[in-house]
Amino acid sequence: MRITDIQHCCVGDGPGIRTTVFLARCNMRCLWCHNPEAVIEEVFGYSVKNISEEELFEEICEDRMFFKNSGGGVTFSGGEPMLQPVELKQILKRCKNENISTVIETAGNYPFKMIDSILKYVDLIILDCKAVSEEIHERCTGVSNEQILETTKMLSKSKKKLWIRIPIVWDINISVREMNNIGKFLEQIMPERVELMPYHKMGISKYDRYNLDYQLRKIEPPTKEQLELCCDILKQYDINAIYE
Amino acid sequence: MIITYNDQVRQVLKNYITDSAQIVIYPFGKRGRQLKKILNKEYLIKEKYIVDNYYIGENTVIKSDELLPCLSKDMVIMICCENREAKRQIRDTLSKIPDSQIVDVFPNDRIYISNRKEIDIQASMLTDLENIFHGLQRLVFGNDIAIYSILKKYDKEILTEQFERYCTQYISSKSLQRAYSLLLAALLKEIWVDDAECLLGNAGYRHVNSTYPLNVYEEIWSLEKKNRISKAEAAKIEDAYEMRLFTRFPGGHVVPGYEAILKNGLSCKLLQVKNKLAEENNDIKNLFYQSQFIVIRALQELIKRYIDMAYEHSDINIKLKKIARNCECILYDAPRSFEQALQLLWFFHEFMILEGNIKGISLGRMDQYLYTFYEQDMNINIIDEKRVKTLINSFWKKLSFDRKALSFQNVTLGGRDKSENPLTIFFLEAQMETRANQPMLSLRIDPFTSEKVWNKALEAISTGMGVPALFNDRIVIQAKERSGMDKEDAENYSIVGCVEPSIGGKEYSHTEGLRLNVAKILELMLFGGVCPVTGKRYSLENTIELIEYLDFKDFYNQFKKELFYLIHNACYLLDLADFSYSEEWPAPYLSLFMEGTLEKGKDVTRKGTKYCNLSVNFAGMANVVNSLMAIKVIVFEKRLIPLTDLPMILSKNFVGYEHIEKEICNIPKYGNNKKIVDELMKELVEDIIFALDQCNINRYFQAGFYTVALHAEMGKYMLASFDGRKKGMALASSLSPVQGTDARGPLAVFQSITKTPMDKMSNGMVLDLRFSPSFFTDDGKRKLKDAILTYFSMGGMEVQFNVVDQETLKKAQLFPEQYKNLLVRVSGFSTYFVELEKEVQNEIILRYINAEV
Repeated sequence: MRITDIQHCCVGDGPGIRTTVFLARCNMRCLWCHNPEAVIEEVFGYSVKNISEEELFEEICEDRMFFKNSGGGVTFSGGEPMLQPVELKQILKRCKNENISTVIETAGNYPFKMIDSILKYVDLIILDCKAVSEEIHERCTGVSNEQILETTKMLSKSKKKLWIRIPIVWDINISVREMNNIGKFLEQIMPERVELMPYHKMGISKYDRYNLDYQLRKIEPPTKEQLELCCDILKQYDINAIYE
Repeated sequence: MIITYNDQVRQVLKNYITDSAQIVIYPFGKRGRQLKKILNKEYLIKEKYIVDNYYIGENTVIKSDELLPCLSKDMVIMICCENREAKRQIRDTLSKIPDSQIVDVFPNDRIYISNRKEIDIQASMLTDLENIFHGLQRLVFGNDIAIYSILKKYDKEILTEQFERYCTQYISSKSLQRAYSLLLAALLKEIWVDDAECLLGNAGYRHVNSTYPLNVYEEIWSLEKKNRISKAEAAKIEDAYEMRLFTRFPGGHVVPGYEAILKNGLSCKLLQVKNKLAEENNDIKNLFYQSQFIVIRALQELIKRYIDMAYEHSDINIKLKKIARNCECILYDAPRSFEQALQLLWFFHEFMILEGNIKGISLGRMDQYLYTFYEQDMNINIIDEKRVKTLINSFWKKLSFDRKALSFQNVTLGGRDKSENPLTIFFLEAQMETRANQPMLSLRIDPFTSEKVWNKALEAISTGMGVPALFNDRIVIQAKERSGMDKEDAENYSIVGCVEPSIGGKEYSHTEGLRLNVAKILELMLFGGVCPVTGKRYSLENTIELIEYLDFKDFYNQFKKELFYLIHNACYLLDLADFSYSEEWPAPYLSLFMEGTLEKGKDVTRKGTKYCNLSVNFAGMANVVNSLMAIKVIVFEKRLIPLTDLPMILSKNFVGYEHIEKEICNIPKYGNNKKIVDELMKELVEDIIFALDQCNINRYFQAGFYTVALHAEMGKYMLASFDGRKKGMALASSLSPVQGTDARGPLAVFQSITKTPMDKMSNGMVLDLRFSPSFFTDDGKRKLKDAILTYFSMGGMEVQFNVVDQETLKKAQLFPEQYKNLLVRVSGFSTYFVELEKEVQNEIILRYINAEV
């Protein structure tokens, strides 16, 4: 399995205390991406390392004591973890067998049947909803969201536990109108939890280090008022969104 | 070099005494007064100015530091203090004045001792001293004969010194001597009434001399004088102190059983002592009871003075009348309200300062023993929550009044069997409101600790004060039972000083008895028993040439042998030093509060109380473990360099040996859940405890693994070490990993440290973790709690959180290698602070300021 990092003691990627494995490669190019090393392999090739299932499993098991008490476990993030489906399935299966809670963080840009086959080994899926309007989505991520929306709907039907995350980059992917669109869409999905992810500038340093172009240089993190506004809009659709 | 204060002053003055000498004394504390005395009396020169903001107005000669920039060029400013921090501040205010005009009278490369031995009774004072003594004798039995007029004639400091001298000549019992000095101190102590406060009392202690030894050297000399140790032995111990192989802070570090007298009142205690006095024929015991009687009376006299003063001021402030009445009640009887209880508790504590035994006097389980008073008041509706909070805040302010007088006062909250109550929360809140650095709070955690207390505690921690420290009841109680305590007592433990578990009112274990720098032993082995920094020698058990070590096992076994030897020496020294207290420096006032002293008729320093253990603490553990690992791999396995090169590499601070340094970096370090190093740590800790058990013949020696700030001090006196630490840098703190080497985060640290047997560390241990404030979201706190509980279930004893402030973040920016493990967390994205680019770091720093506002 090709990964860029393993972080222990993560508290933001699902319930409890988790170990997050960042898988390399992505099939989207989001303007605000803060993990470019997992995305653009050509540039960050050196930071990608191959890890065997055995090794990975051993490292995941290190913090087992802490998973048990906090309701935590392992989270596969990225990049897009679903781009290495075979290896992912193997390790998920193994964790499940050992009673370690599993989460995947994914953007959903692939046919549903791909993820369908691993659902039984996953306890929770954290899915991104970056935009519902196709035009905005394409502008921000470089790809159409047709497939993503379809996969999201299918996941919702599968009754798997689902969390939705909405990156909030004001005036880029989010406006009052788009928030309403998202609300309308999520109303049918009925996720267990919706998190707003306010844009931050933590990723810029990584771009600078390799002289990469970063288009959002002038964009500021959303204000508290803007975040509250988003929450209010979602409330109209019966969705209680949270943010930190 | 060791020198008396007076000689140092004379040496310095010699160089500056000319006809036109214009000397400015700054500041005017004890040392300043000393310099003035010598300047005026011996050299017959009057100082030009005295600069001290604290004393402005007391005397017209004393000026504020605003005057300094206007000084003329021929004046010389004498800095009269020892404290490094104070000196730094003074230097800051003097930054515009050329160095040639500034003299540091007490440079820190020397060790100073008191001048007490020089004092003789001034013949002119003898009659007055006699009158004072007789006056005090009558005062003890309630005949208030006015001696105030005589007392007013003299400078308080001189009078105290002279009176103590008088006592040593005319009273043979040390205990009694001290009791009378305390009585005089009660009359001389500067007191004032603060209108804004709702409790009387203050922690100021100026003008009161203590009969305690000023430093460890005086102890050694006292032992040498009595021929308990030879001159050579004494010299060896002195050298050990100087190279910081040992450090020691005698006295204090106890939880007096304030609770018992709080329950029954002073008169009851006085009566008990009186009865004992009447029936006791044994001379020594009789003298002890006399001294007990006198100190109770002394405390009452102090309270009386406060009462009088409060009445005097009650015209201006009517509230004072009520406070004075409260004090009148508790002068004899047990307190009948929460307010009275807190007031009496303060007086108990304030008087403790006068005895001189002041470091680490802790208050025990305050939420437990004050609860009945609180409950009572609440039931009959004479107090409300607001009042309770006001009173507690007032008490907290007194505790933090003077860091010099009162330090390491710990208050223990919560604990087994759902013992938390509303007061637990109030105390935590008081800490957050006053944001004072005193007292230090410890929270006892067991599986039943309520959500409410947890939340409050985590809230307090997240504000960055580092308190409360969290203790795992299960493990602490096991450790205390192991050190020979009854289960019931062990369950009632509270925390002394920093983290030392102790039984309130029943245990006097010298928790800061001795600290052994384990990393230094390795250094001494490499440098043939000579400290390469100070040049002092401490002969080890065997001197073995480095070339003779054939493999790592050889080297490691020898290290262990030397460690055992040092532990043995430490225990021997500790036992001896403790003995010198029973002879020279008894503590009659502290004895009042310790269970068993009254029955046995023995001072607490003579093992009068139930548990009298001794404690040895260990520093530099993680450095030693990492160094040994590096030696094993680099020297004996990879054979990159011979062992004989190590002294040179370390002396050169790795300069020219960067490849070795790099090699060291790649060796597994303790604290990353790496079995091979963690096992080494476990083995060392177990060996240490085993060695201490071996010394346990008539005393139990408790092992402690915490370092306060001494890991920095000890590091300063060491060259580089083979774990990659540079010359003079701090050693690892307590049992925590070496700074910056715990790259795998807190969970790995938890797992590494829990491999050591903490249930045998009866003198406590510390695990420091560093977090950024952004970690403490509601969700983050919940998860942190889960992590702590897991750590505790794995056998963890203590953990404390350093939620870093903005200053630290700035430092982390400047010295990233020391802050590798600093986590920052921003909306789901958590990373290490040092990995971020400078601007982003700035942003986080800025964000932190905003969060503060």
